[in-house]
Amino acid sequence: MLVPLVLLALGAVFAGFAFHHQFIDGEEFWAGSIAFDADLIHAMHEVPLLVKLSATIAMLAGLAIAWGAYIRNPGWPAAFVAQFGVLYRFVHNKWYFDELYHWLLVKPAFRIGRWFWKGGDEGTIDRFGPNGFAWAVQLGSRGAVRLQSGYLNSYALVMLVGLVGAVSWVIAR
Amino acid sequence: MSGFPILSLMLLVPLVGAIACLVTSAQAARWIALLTTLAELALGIVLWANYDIGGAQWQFTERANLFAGMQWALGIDGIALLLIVLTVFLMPICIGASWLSIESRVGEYMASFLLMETLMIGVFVAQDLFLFYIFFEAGLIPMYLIIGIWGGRDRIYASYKFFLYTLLGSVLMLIAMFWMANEAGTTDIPTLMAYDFPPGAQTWLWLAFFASFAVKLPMWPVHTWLPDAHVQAPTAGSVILAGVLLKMGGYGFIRFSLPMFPEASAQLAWLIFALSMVAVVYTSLVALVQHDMKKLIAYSSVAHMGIVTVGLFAFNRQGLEGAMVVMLSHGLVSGALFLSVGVIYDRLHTREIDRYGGLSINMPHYALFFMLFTMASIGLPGTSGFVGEFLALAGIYQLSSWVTAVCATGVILGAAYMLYLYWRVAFGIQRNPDAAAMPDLDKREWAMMAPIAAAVLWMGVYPESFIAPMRQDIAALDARLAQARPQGDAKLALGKTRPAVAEHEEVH
Repeated sequence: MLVPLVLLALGAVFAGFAFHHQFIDGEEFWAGSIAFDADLIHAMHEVPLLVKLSATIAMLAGLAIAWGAYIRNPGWPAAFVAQFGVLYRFVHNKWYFDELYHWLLVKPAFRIGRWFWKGGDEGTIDRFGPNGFAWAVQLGSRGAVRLQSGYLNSYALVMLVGLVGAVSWVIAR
Repeated sequence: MSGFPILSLMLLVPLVGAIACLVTSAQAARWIALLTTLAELALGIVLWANYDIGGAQWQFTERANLFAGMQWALGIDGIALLLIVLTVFLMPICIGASWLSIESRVGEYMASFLLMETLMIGVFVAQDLFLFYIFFEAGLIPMYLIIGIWGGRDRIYASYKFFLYTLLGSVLMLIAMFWMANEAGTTDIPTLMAYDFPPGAQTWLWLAFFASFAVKLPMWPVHTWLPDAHVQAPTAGSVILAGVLLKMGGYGFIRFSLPMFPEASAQLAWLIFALSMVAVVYTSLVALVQHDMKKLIAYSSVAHMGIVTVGLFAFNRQGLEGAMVVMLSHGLVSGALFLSVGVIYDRLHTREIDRYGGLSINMPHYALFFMLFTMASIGLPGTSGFVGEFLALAGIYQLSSWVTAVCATGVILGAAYMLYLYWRVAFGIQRNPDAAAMPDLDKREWAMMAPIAAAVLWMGVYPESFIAPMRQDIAALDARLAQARPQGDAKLALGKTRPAVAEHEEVH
């Protein structure tokens, strides 16, 4: 693990020196792929010095706290946790963002998905679509089977009724 | 190459192989099928190598008169070429996936697959309206047999659902084709693509074709045959179903609906957008709650096809090219995902996600491939999925920012359900001792996975290889659609900020 860390540390410190020329002064590297607003860039140059140093200040503050908590006085973190329990738990649980996400996004997504699946796909589309058609066809054929009784006299009756109906329609028209 | 009937040969070779498979023993049938599909792959490579990019729109054309005005008319453009290459690329892999898992009626199984290959290629090369219809519809038969005979427990229900759903839509398309042939006096597809049908009739014709392609693609709400068919089909059946058969719907839109009925396409684009937006969100959420791996991937296919349809109806080049790349990418990626499911299904004979877990410990190579295809399905930059989805969404953004916003959630939800699947299968503790004892990929499975992985990365890193053949055809289609292009809501304008170099030079 040491070798990769050393390589990464070297890169972190020196990559800026190595590629400074190519990235910032060179024109062929970006080949027109980035654009900037000249006014904005000029305005950025004119911010107070403190703004430019803010990252360094934050880094130094972190360094000082780390040195205090882990080297000078190792008992300090435990004492802090004991004193500021609520704050510690809030930060330790990442501001409860995971719980918030779970409650706000994950659970509703699963509930809606299950509802779409069971209620939508299976309960509505399949039920009234293909399965509904199959059911209707089955019902129809069962009815048709009942009509085909095989008795000649009932067929003759249907023919007679149809004939009488047709003739009366022609006469009545 | 001129004059040599390579397209007819590509239709003939699998047919001969299919007949040979029917009359030999099981092991011989496997080898015949593999060699036939490899020969077909070689022919596909020859076809691509000889395709003249920037040349004539229709190449390798063949014309022979058949009875009653029907023509044996073949020919391809760049769009068809890429889909043919996708087909012949996936077929040997499908045969490999069936090598051990199919034990009964091997000869008939291989014959069905080879017949399927003929019919799929036929769909993409046909230049006669009715020849297209025959290939398009006949493709149902071998797939119906593959699901119905070699499928899982509920195979009969799934195969009937698949067949009837698809047939119902296609009958309306046939009626529309008769009307078109009567009106235009020809069944030649290139001629029809330039024919201006009366706008009033276009609407009805468009709806008739839509009925067929929407089922095939599939679009919400006529998608419910797909999860059932995928779950019941054998692994190779799922691969070819997701890889190529779904693309026939997209191909239909791009070959028929858009160029033949541009006014109706513009007029009814709202319908496509509405259904696609519902599909993307709805099926992504349904995919999230699935317990069955194949069903999850099937639902994710519907969501991806939603992005294809919005791209197609964006009426601009990014949208059309993006839709095509999504189709090609999805053909590879979803095929590979079904293979990944097949690999572990062959070992444990279950598709339940909960029965697996921690596979990256005992199957590291498998986990690596599965990870790559998962990322490609999500659309990670560097994989094929990103190129297509980005282009398609960039295309539709010019037309409607709302449609883009809704469809872009599909990318986020895609990450949610695919990573959730991958986490449950490959990471975590090894919950089940039998799953923990599964061996890693063998040589045959390596030979199936590695080519697809290479193609996915190739398409992701250098998509130009795949966009170049179709660029001219997309431009022609774009020009054809220009007369009907709707006004967009984005009103994109060039920014005042100029590239850094230009700015830099002016200051100094």
